Amino acid sequence: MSYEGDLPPAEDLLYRQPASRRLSDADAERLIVWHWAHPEAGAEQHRLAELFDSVTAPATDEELSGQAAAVAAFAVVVGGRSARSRGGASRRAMGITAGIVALSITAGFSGAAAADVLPGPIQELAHQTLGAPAPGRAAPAVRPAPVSGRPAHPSGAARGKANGHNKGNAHGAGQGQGKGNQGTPPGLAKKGGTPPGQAKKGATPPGQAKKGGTPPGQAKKAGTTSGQAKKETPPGQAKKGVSASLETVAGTLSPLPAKLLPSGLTKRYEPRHASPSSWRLSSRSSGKARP
Amino acid sequence: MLNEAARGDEAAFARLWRDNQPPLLRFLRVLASDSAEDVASEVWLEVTRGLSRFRGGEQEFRAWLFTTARRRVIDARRYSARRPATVTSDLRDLDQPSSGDAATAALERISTEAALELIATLPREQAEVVALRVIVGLDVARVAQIVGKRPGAVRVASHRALRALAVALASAADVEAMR
Repeated sequence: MSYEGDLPPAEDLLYRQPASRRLSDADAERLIVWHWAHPEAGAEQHRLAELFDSVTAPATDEELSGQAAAVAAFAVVVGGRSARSRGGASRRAMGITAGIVALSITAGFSGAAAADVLPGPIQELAHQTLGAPAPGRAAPAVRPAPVSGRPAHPSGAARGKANGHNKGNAHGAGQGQGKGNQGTPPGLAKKGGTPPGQAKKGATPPGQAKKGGTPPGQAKKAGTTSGQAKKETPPGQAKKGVSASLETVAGTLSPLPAKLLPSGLTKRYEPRHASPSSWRLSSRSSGKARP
Repeated sequence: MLNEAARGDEAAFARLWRDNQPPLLRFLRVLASDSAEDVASEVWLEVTRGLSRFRGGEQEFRAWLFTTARRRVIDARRYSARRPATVTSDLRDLDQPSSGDAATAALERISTEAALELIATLPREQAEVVALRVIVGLDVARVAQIVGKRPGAVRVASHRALRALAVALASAADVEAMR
């Protein structure tokens, strides 16, 4: 077997040996994995097998002498990690508890402010910051009886006002009461909600209509007159159906500001009391200019 | 065993250490003979810190362990390159043996140390491949993953390493026969 001299000297040395086999890929893999040389292989492969056997010999005591130190370091690292995780868990639990407590306090304060059960200065503060009812200005449980000779019927008045047909009658009777005083739940009368304290501002002098109020003897609803309104819904008569029950609920929630009411209730009242279109239609039907 | 060690079981970690420390030390003696013990300690410390996040079997753990070890060796080489040690006159006589001496010693007393010294005389890439394949017992794919080469390149490197080792052993045998 001769070589042309283009092979490196190492290979030359290897394959110049009187071996019957060259180092093939299979031989190399067998040597590496099993440390075993084929019986027909040359001496160099057997030496390689011995060499690999020696590097994978069982561990000596010297090599395993550091076990105690390694386990001690492991215990320190794991102990510190578990302590950190315990500390983190306790911090998280404290944060969650603090959040729950703060939420409870805020909710309780808001509820108490909405119910006007806080002491005067605190209620005033809640009134200014949260829009809660002013102290002592929350809707009274018993409303003052109207001046007119009509029998007082708070709930009926509220429902009649909510229906929108009773306004004309109220003005026609010369009461001139604003919406807030006429039994409409404060905060529901105007678009965007009006606090009870501001509802009184909307009250117009007797004989005058302001915003939502229509001239005396005219109904607010489009195309209807006061007479027609009376036929459809007599004053003080309860409205039937789901809307009537919702309005009743809204009447009982009158101390609450509009922002605390469910949005469905507020939306339901918006077009009836503050819709510009109803304004225009009402003005057209009456043939009079809006004040 | 891995899961128990990851949960903090010291006995499981001790078994894990006993299984992997000898090949780790031998691997490091091939690649960083001077600082094998120190590098091994650093590797185990790093492995201990990350063990709770480890997911996989024994082969994956070995691949992770020796990837960490290889990185540490590279760091140690960079560090020593920045701060070269000054060899005093007393230590010059204790210099590393030549490859021929190592091969002769390996033949005379096929001890583990002598065999590791012989493998350490190979070019670094070949020595790394032989150590990972023979000492650690990883397959070609995992070795390729650790050293960042293709499996074909790993096979070529291991083949060349075997040939070089065979030549060195043959030369040592000739020297031994002449004595």
